[in-house]
This record gives sequence, structure tokens and C-alpha cells, in this order.
Amino acid sequence: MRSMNKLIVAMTIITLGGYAQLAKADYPSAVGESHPDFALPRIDNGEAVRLSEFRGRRVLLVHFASW
Amino acid sequence: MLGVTQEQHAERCRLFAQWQKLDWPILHDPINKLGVDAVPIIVEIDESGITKSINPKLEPFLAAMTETRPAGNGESAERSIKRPELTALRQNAEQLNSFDHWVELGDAIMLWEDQSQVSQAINAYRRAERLRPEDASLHFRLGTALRTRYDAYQRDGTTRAQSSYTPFSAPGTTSLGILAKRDQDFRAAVDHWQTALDLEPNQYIYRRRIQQYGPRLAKPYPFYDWIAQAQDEIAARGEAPIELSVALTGSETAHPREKFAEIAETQEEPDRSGRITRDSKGLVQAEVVVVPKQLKPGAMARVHINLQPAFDTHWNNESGPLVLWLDLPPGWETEGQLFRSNMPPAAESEERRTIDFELKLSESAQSPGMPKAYALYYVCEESRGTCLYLRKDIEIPIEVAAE
Repeated sequence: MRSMNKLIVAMTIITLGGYAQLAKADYPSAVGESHPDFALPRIDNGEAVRLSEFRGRRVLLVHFASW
Repeated sequence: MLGVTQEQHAERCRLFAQWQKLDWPILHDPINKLGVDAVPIIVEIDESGITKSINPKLEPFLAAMTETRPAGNGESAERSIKRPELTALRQNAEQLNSFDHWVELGDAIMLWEDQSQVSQAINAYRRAERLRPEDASLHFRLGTALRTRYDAYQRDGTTRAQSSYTPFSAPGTTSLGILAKRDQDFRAAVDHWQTALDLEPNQYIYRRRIQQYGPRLAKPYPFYDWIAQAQDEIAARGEAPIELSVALTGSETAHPREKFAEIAETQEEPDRSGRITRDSKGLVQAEVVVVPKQLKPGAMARVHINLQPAFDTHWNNESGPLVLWLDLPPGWETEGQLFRSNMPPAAESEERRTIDFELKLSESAQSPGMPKAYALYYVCEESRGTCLYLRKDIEIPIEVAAE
């Protein structure tokens, strides 16, 4: 994936079924259920970010890898 | 937009984000604490924290996000996220001695502590392993922690010296012994990742971590071949590219390919007569990691040979490079037999040097002998001031499976 465009293309592909068959049943949570909260460090400064900080806003949570 | 990357090395993703000008926060989950089975996965979460859709169409969402993006990269002004309290986690783990508590302690160290503490995470995971030896996610975590220690050890020359210097050695423990233990970390990491994948063969994250260090044939596409282009383009913009703390291996940049290239030139064995003095004192330690370690006829493996000067020893770069000669018995194929390692410009150095290459077991191979190699290098003993040209014979352990 060499560009954001390619990233978006790849992400769009998975909506059509690319890797979706590999997705585990319990992660992410099913549509309509509360998404599990978590805290992880940022890659740039190590600062902790918790998903629940974003309550009150819509969030697009993107799991990806630069490879 | 909030990203989560499951990569081993965070700074490679930082470089990618810099190159692509991704301005949203990206979080690091090298141990796959979230339990993601594949990437990419996109989850749309509404204002109440409810999962609204999985892998949605992106364009409408991105348009809406642009219009409503809050200032400051989506972060609130008064943030106070507490990191886990290690002392309490350790006390809980020791008192309750449960699998979950040991894993929680290991995770907290892996995610939130400096990499110099990684041995404590490994110890915590080992305690969990005793309680539940067949847990795939634990083996993946152990592999990641061991590889982290291996990389930390490579990254900092002082770490090498400090790790191997032990004025109060336990009986039977030498500084070289400790050095050798650290140098087994990569092999142990691959073993744990393989165990994790054997237990959960559909886990894409586990599979990719092994492929990262495996042969080209096993990869659907390269891992980090974009890095050189990214560094050039970032520099052309007048920015300094994010520095990579861990050098890329050949397996991480190699393109998928099924056949070997022709050997371009005749390669002459450097010590055919075997007269170069053997490194009997172990001034340089060798670690061999084969991915995968078991092959069937017709299959390929990636071999990583890591060579590290022991405490009180350094490479003598003025005299010449390290070379490695690969000695293949019938039944094996490769692209070359003679390899040279890169050298830093300094007259002397003490970094770990890695040579990696691929081997293929012929379709028709029956009871093939094991490949061997030897390295030739110039090193100096610091205490005596003696500089030597030495040879180290290296076994390449590959298990041959029945067809």
C-alpha cells in the first residue's frame, strides 16, 4: 500500500469481502453492540489514548499495517 | 479517524504516516492485545460508543469527518489517561498466580514501559505459559516480546556491553553465556509465533509476522519495499524522514518470487583448504534462524545468520568485511554461495551483522545432508589489543519433513 489512495482502495476492497472472512466473531463487536473500550499508546509519542475519550463523536476505527 | 497498527516496529508505521501525511492519531498494538484476526478492518462507532457498521463505505464518512473534525487532531484538551500501575499488577499476579493476571502484567510492560524493561514482560508471559501452555495469543505475545529484546539489543551498542558484563556472575555463567542467551531471542520468537499460528491457523496477524522473516514464496506481497521510496520523497519535501531504529532485513524488502535468479558470477570459495584459524574462544557469537524451520521437498526457507562480537571484542573494519560462504550438499538450491555484510564507515564497530538468504529443497531430494556455512571476519580483542582474522563454522539446522 503505497499511498492513502491505495489504503482507501484496499479498505474498500475488504468491504466487498477481501479479508473479511478471516475476521474473528468477537472482534470487533457486532453491529448494534457497545464497542469494547481500550487504551493503547500512540506511535508518535507513546501517549495513552482511550477509545472512550471519543464519546460524543463518531469514530472510524481503522486497523491497518503499513506492510 | 483513529488508527491502530499491529506492526512489530512502531517507527515504520510512523514513517508511513509521515510519508502519506496521515494526520490522525495512530495507536500501537504490537502484541495484538485487541485480538484482531486480520487487517485492514474498519469499524464505524457512533457517538454513544455503539458499533454502527464494519468495513463501511468510506467516502461519505470521510466527507462528514472533514466537515466536523475537531481541532487538535481529535484530542480533548484536558486528557488524563492513566497508565497501568505496575506495582499493583505485579502484586496481583504474584498473589493470585492466574494466567490472566500474568498476561495483564506482561502487556502493561510491553505497551507502556521502556524497552529496557522487556525482560520483565518476558518473565511475566513465561509464568502465564506455565499455567496455560497452549494459548495462541500468549505465544504470539512471547514472540513479540522476544523479538523486541533482540532488536533492543541490536540497536544500542552499550546494551550489548552492559548485557554481557556481569561482575557478579552466577557459578557457571560467563559474560559470553549471557550474550549467547540474548542471541537466541530471534529464534525463540519465531518458534513462539509458529506455535501461535499452529494453534490458530486462520490468524492473519500471526501468519504475517512469520512471513515478515520468511521466504519470498510465502508472501502475497512485500512488507517494507516502500520504505526507500518514502524516505526519498520525504527528503525531497525538505523534511527529515523518521529514523528507523531497527535495520530492515532482506526478507522484509524482498519481492515475492518462485524461482531463484541465475548466479551471475563464478563464486570462489574463500577458505577452500580450511586453513584459517577457527574462532575457538567465541569472540563472535552466531545465531541461525530458519523460517520456516521445517521443509518439505520443493519448499523454500529463509535463513538468517546473525553474528555479534562478544564483550570486549569489536569488528576491525579497516581490514575488510565479514564474508560468509554457504556450503550446500546435493538436494539444495540457492541464489549464491558467497555473501558480504555491510560495514559502517567507522574503523571499528561492534554491531550485530546479519546475512540472510533463501534455500530451496529440491523436489527430488531424498535424505539430503544439512547445509553448512562459515564466516570469515576481522576482529580485535580490546583487552589484549590483538586483532585476528578468524573463521567460524556454522550449522544450518533445517528439519526435512516427509512429503
